[in-house]
This record gives sequence, C-alpha cells and structure tokens, in this order.
Amino acid sequence: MNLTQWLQALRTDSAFSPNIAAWHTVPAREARYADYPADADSRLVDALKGRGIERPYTHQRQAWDAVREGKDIVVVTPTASGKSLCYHFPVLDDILKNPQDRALYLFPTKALSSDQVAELMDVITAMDAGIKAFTYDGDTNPTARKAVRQAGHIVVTNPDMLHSGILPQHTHWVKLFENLRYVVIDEIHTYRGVFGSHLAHVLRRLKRICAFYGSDPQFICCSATIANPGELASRLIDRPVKLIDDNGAPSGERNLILYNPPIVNKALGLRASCLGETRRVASDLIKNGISTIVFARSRLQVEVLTTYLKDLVRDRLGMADAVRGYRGGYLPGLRRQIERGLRQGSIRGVVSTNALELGVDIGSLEACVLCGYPGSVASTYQQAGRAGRRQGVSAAVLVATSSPLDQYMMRHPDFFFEAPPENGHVAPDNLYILMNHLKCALAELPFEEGETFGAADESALEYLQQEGVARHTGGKWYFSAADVFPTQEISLRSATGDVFTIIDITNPEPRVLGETDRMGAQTMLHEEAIYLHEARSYQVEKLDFEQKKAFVREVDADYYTDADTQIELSVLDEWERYGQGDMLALGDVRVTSMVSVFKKIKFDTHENIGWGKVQLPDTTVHTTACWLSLEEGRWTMEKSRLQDALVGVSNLLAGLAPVYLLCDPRDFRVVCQVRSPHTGRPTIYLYDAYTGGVGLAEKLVGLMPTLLEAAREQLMQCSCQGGCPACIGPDGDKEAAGRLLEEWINACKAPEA
Amino acid sequence: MPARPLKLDLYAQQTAQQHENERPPIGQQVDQTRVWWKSLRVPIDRGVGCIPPEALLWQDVSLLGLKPGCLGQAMDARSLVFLDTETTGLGAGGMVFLVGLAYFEGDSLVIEQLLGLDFPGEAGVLDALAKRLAGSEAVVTFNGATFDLPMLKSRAVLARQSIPYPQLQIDLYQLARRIFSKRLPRMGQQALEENVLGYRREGDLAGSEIPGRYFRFLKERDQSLLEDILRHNALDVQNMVSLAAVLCGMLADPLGACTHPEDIYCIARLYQRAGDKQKARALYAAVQDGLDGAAREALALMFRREKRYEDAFLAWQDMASAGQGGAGPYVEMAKYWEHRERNYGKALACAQKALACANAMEREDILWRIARLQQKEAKTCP
Repeated sequence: MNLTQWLQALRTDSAFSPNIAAWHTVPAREARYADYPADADSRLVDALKGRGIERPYTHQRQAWDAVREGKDIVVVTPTASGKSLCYHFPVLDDILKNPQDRALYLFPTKALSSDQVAELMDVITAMDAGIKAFTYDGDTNPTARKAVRQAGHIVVTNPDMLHSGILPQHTHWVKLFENLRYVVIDEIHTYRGVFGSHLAHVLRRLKRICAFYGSDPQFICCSATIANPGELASRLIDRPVKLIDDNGAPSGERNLILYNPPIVNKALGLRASCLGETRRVASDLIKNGISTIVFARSRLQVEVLTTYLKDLVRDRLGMADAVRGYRGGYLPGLRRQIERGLRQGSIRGVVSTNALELGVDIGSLEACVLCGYPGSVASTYQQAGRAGRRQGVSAAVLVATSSPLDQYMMRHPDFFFEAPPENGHVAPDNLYILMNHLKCALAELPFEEGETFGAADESALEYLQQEGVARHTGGKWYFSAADVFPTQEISLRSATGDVFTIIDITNPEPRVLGETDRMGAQTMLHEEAIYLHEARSYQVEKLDFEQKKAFVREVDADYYTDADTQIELSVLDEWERYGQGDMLALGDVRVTSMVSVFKKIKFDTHENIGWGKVQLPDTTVHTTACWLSLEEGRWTMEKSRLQDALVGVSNLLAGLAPVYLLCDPRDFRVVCQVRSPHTGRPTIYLYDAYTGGVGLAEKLVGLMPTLLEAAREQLMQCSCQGGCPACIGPDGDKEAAGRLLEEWINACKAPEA
Repeated sequence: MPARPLKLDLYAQQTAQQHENERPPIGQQVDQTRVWWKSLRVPIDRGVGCIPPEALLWQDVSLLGLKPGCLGQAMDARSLVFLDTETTGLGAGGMVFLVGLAYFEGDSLVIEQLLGLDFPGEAGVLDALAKRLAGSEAVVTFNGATFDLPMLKSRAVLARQSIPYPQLQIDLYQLARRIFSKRLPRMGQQALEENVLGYRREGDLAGSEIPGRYFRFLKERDQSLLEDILRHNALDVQNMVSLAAVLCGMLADPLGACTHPEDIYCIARLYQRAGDKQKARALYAAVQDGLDGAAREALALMFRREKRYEDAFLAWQDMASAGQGGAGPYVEMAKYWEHRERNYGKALACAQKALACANAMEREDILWRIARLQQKEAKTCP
C-alpha cells in the first residue's frame, strides 16, 4: 500500500477511525516564483541554476531586496522552503563583489552547521571564485583555526563557540571584525527562554566589539513558524526587523490526524497507552514500506520504541538497520550516518526526540507519528513538517497521551488548528545572566563612562568593583580580577552546563557511547540503571559524579528502569501578594531535585517488577515562582481529603498552564505542600524551570483567574469517575479537587483587599 | 619633572653597584604620571650564581637560533633585548602592567623596567616598549612565543598601537626543552636556574600571587607592595642572560660543557634536525655506550636514511652486542640480511635472537617474520 491508499484504509478501519478526534487536510500548493535580481553576480546565478534553482521563490527575492536596502530581516517559512538561500544569496553576492567583506553564520548546533557548510561549499565550488567558508567550533583542529581566522570569508559557528572561543579572543580576529558585513542567525525560534537571553547578550557583546573595530553588520535571521518571530528577532538583536513571510515554496497535500487512544478501563478512565498505539500506527506504516519518522517525548521512549520497531524489520540475518533511533546524546558520527541512510533510503524508519525538530535535511519522509503532544502547536507543526516535502501526499498522526494537556487538545481540536502557534519568549533581563555577560564584556573591552550594557548601567559596574572584578579609573571601567575566567562561568544552555560522558566497558577497549547533561545523568545513569542505546541494553556499573563519567556494560535485560525525581522547594523571598486573603503571591524560591528511587519495568507488558535505591547529589536551582495558598478556615471537608485535593489541582494546573502561557510544558513545574513552611497553609507552587526565572511565573499571576476557570471546566467535563490522568491524576478525589478550585475561584472574584 | 624612581633594594644577593638613572630615557612621550621607568646597571662581571652576564659576550650567540631546519642566526650579543612581562591574568581581560628588559650597554647590563600605574598606564608601557625595540636585532624571551609576545600583540591591538618586533625572536624555553627534555622533568625558568645555573631564589614572590599583589597596590597605593614584583621580574630578566650564556656554551662545545650524556644526546638530535649531520654523528658517537643504546639507534637510523646500510647494520650490531635495545636491533639486523644481502639463513638467526628477548607486543610480529623467512628459505634451498 502506498500512503494515499493507507490513508483511505484508515478512514474505514473500525479499530482506528472511531478514535480519530480530528482530520485536517491542507491541499497541495503551487510554487510562486520571482525573477533573479538584475544586479546579482552572474557567476552566482549560474551556480544556483546549475543546482536546479531556475528562479527564486517569492520570499527568497523579497529577502534579497530587503537586505540590499540595508535592513535587518527575519525570514519565516516552514521547513523545506529554501530559507537558507535567503541568506546565502545576498551574502555570496556581496563577497563576490567585495572580496574583503566577511560574514558570520550562527547555528544552534554543530550538526546543523555542518550540513549548511556542505551545501554552501557546493555552491562555492561551482562558482570557482575563491570564496572560503569554514566551520569554527570545538571540533576544529588547532592548525586549521589559524587559517579560519585569517582567511575565512564566511565563518560558521554556534553561540557557545562565539561566546567562549571567538569574542574573548577578538584581537586574533581583527580581519573578521573590521570587515564584518552580515551576521546570519538560523533557527532563531530555538533561542527561547534562558538560551535566548544568553544569545541576546552574546550578540550585544558582538556588536560592541564590531563597533570597536569600526564595522556595523546587518542581521539576517530565519525562524520556523511561531506567533511572534518579528518580536523575538527584534529582542535578540535589539534592533527593529523586517518580517519576510510570504512563503512561495510549493508543498504536496498534507494530512494532520489527531488520534485519541480508546478508553480501556471505563471506571478508572484509563486509555490505551500512547506508546502502544504509536507502536501500532508506526508498525503499520513501516510494514507497508512507507518512510516514517516517530517523535517521542523522552529519550527513554525513543529507546523503547526503537526496540519494538527494530523487531519488526529484523531480517533473516538478524539485521534491523532499516529502523534507527536518533537522540541528542549520540555522537556526531552516528548522527551523520543516520542522516545519510535516510537520504539514501536504506533507512525506512527513524525514532527521535525533538533533536530532529531542527531542520536537518533528511530527505523526504512520507509519514510522521507523534507519540504525545509535543507541548506546543509550533513544535507540532515543525515535527509534522518533517513528513512530506515539495510534492506528494504526506501524513502526520498525533497520538494523545492521557495527560490533561493532550486531552484538552483532543477535546478542542479547533483550538489546535486555529490557535496561533506559541510565542517565543526571551527572558526579560534576568539579572543572573546579565551580570555574567557583563563580566565577559568587560574582560573583552573596557567600558567608557556612561556606556550601558542592556539593562546594566554604572550601578552594575559599581557592584562589580565592590566584588573586586572591575576597576574604575581614568574615565573607564576595566576588568580587574586575577583568577576569574568569566566565559567559563556560564553555560549557554542550562543551569549547570555539565556534560557527562557515557563509556562502554564491555570490551577490553572502552569506547564512548554518548553524552548527557546533569539532569540526564541523575535520571538515566545512576548505578544499576539500564541505559538504552540504539536498542541495546547496558547496565550502569559506576557513575563518577565528580569526573562526570558513567561506566556501562552491555547486558541482556528484559526490563528497563525509570527513575523518580523528587522536588523540595523553599521560599527565599516574597515580592508581592494578590487577591483576597493573600491567596496568590510571587517571589524567589530555591528548588532542589533529588533522585532516590528507580523502578524496574518489563518490556512489552510494562509491569513494575522491582525497584532500587539511588545515591546521588542533588541539583539546586534558584528561580521565580507564584503560589496559591488557601486561607485559614476555608477548608470545610475532612482534613484527610485536602492532600488529594492539592495533588489533583496541581495536576490540572500543570497540564493547562502551557496553553495559556503559550510556553512549553517543560518550561515550568508545579509542586504542592499541605502545610508549607513559608505560608503556614496548604499551598501550590508554580515555578519557572530555569535559574533566575524567565518571566513565566509573573505572567501566570495575571492569568490565574482564567486558568482556574479552565481547570474547573476540564474537571467537570472529564468523564472519568474517580480521577484520571487527563484531569486530576489517577486515583484522585474529584469532589475534593473541585471544592478547592471553587474556593480559589471565589477568592479571585471577591474585590481585592 | 620625572617621577622619582622607587627606592628599591634589588639584588640583595649581589654586591652589584646600583645606579639609579633619573633622566627620562625616551623623550617626552611617556606619560610620567602613568608609567614608571626604572633602570639599573649591573656590571657585567658580577652576576648571580657563578655566571656573570658578560659570559654571553664570549659566546657564539648565533647558536641561540638553532632549531629544526636552521643552524642558527647571525646575531650580535650586544643587540639582543631580553624581555619578560608581568600581567594581571592569562587570557582576555588580563593587562600587561610590567615589562622588564635587559640589554648590554657599554660595560654594563642594563635592566630596565616599565611599570604601568593602573590600567590607563598600559598604553604608555606599550609605547615605551615600542621605542625600545625599534632598531634592535632580536628579542629573547622565556616562553614568550606562547605567552609574552602574543599577549603584548593582543594588548597592542586593544590600545590601537603596533609594536615593531624584530625579525628574530628567540624563546629560551623552547631551546631549553630541546636540550634538557631527556633529563629534566621540569623546565620552567626557576627549575633551570637551579639545575643549570646552580642558583636558587630565596624569598621570591610566587608568580601566581603577582596579579593579586598588583591589584592590592592599585587599591592601597602602597609602593612597598610592588617591591617583590619588581625584584621577581628583574631576576627573571637578568637570569635569562646567564641562562642564554650557558645554553650557548653547551651548544658550541657539548663534549666540553655538558656533564650529562642525556643532554649531549639531545643536542646531537638538535644538530641533526638543524642540518649538521656530521656534528650530530660525532656527538652520538661520544655517548653511544650509555642511554640504553639511544645514540646508537639514532646513528643507525641516520645511516639508513643516507642509504649507508652497512654502517647502519654495524650500529645495530653494536647495540645488540652491548645488550642494548632489546629485540629491536636484532629485528633490524634481520631486515638487513633479508633485504640487502638476501641471506635468509642469517636473517632467521637474527630473528630467532630477537624472539628470545621480545616483549609480548613484539612477539607476534617477529613470529610472522620468522614464518615468512622460513618460507623464503625453503624456496631458495632445494
């Protein structure tokens, strides 16, 4: 069966079609073209035509025009619409005409940058004009680095390398900074939250250094479809931008199917497992030879699904390479291998976390299955966009989990199809991040009196002087700390920035399997954990937390492990109180996460066959939170039911807040305390999952009445009897939770004190 | 009026004459409120340890330029400028606050120190350095290739200045490594002073404490805080001169000046890579009896490269007879018999001897060689 036939069969399949919550078809679309600009260098135009680009799409021409007018731009188009040409075209043309000009390309990951360089090199070689493009990142060997600094017209790098490897050594990059004409930032929608805040500061430092050497580059940004690409780009580069979003690329017919697994236990309201249903759908597609990608929510799910699907395609020789797992922690060589296999067709199925969400070119996959709602409409469209390129039918099936958020989407498919994709937030000037970058900027170039850096002014420099890091003399501020390396104090991506290496000691020659971060290490690499990699099982024999190394040995296990994370929260500082009886407050908190216990779960049956203890250090994060507390004397039911009520309402709020905050569910967390030490009352804390906070808790304060109402609606409309994952969690107390919500809703409505 | 130089009592161990020069050395461009200039003259026949600075004047300093591919650079000892910097940090954000220089003038060794008073003074220090270096033939540093010179270049870019470095740049650390790597575990300047000059610094300020001390000075403006830094820097730069003298002496006459065969071996290798094969051979020959045959092996390889296979063979044979080098020499002898003489019988005999003293890793290769030789022998003998 081909995909069209498969889709037909699906509509009539009695095991499947009743559970389809919604089926949305986007008809095929023709391409819209424009002409090559008259003043474009003919060598470049010929090279592009040689690659099959007879005429540019409308948005590509518009990008060129805007850049030639001297504007900073952000190009917003879906995957496979030729967005990279929007920057290669004007940049290469300029370098052909002005060989002393330079450009800097920024990509979020090394995998992406290597792909773009390959494509760029093809065009450059076709032109034979002596343009040099190089990658400059952690993998670049020392002898090559000098060549890149001196001779590279286009330097391709990532924000981490720019932050720690280029800006602090700017005196070695004089040629680049003196002649920098363009800065290209691809995939800017990934620079949200804390990462976005870091990038904004890194770009600020970059502009400062450019000014020192006398250049003022233009910015060319590219974004996937989010609600506010212009605003995001503008906040990142701190300048107004022109939006280019008239997508002229063609696309085949696309189908987006929302599938809700059937209820298998009416009393408990339990649905068939999302993992199992995903497996069913994906297996069917792969068996029919339809190239498929499956997106799972966690690394664990990726590994489990890969195991199942590999069994499906195992041939007589026991080879199962037609299905591959793909995960962020894999080493680059393996990643490239998988990408090549997809392009060539030897790989028919891929299981991934959202690592592939970033536009790595993987050829035309026909179908995409999402195991669970990725947490945002934007992410859904991006993942769905992996399937189907310019022509032909494609399909994306979203299989819902039982979580409140997924069920909400299934119940309100219109919200899904019509709601704007989420906003990309950039954290408002998180002081923690700002001060770190200020130190870096100071070490790079002294500050003049009156010079500011984002929100930081002289008072910030005064503070640094008191700390012994800055010195004010002769009309300037200088960096004056002896043993401090400011760039090493920051990791751009996470609270701690640690990288743990996973080493396979099965054979006499140990080899490195992959990497993960601190949180990953706590949950996946504790001793006795079963670590899954490319569908093979390894048991963790030793985790050296200090040295950041985990030693694993291959085992033949019929189970996998899943660790429980426990959270402890304490309030550091309260800023504001709101509402009647001070029901709502906002402030700073300290959150410690601990892993102490793990479960052993059998493959296939998913039964719990045991548990074990974990001895690991905790991770502590300071962030902002808002909290709801219940006034004294307001709880009229039995005390014993209060705990259940709190847990139930927490579940609801955690599930629904992303919808209203327009953020990713991973961006914030919820914790409840029956008798919170700080408030002395039953309290629910909702906090930003990033050090220093990213503004979500603050936003939530304003949205709280709406959120509480939505939670009540979800609870009442839920057809389960005693609680289910879609509302208050399994085995809950619906009545008590409802009561609690009522109390808070009433308190919101009462006039403020 | 120029700023009054510090009254510092440097060189406590020496009985050298100290001569404070109140005349500004470089015209009016130095901002006298931001850069202190300090200069001392040391009579060239007095020095630390037993090596007076004038020892350098008796040497063939062209040998300081000895390195792979280069037999030395014609230089005049009186035109060398020795240089050492002190900074507030190792990377970005670190500034150069002190430059120490040493050079010969008349019958003295001049130790000149340019000290920046606070951050704005750095530009003045760099400017003064630029003027000092103009017209000099070569600059000599200790680890300057990796640290001092790139640091100075970087700071100059930031100050929008350029410093005219002479074409010839000698790094004594790199040279010392080429001579002492087989013998000395640590080759930092003070380690070399102890091992080579026989001089140990007493009460010297640790390098890691210098930035902190300087920052304290900026806050407290207590001149006495600078004394230790200036003394340390002056010792650095003056001892470099003595070190250079000793290194030149060793390179010019290794057999006369070196007391350790390991050093002679290393110098032999240096001459070999520099291009003086004859000298290298003579030096290897002088130490062939020791070092577990390292010198003989080097000779053998040299001969082989020159296609002097018989001489190479003899060298391997000497090694084997002296019980040096384990299985290696026997294997090489086997190769000679096999490929040069086509005498498989003798080749086998050597291979067997090799096997007898082979270690675990070599065994497999040697067994394979024996098997192959046996096959060849079987073919030639009917």
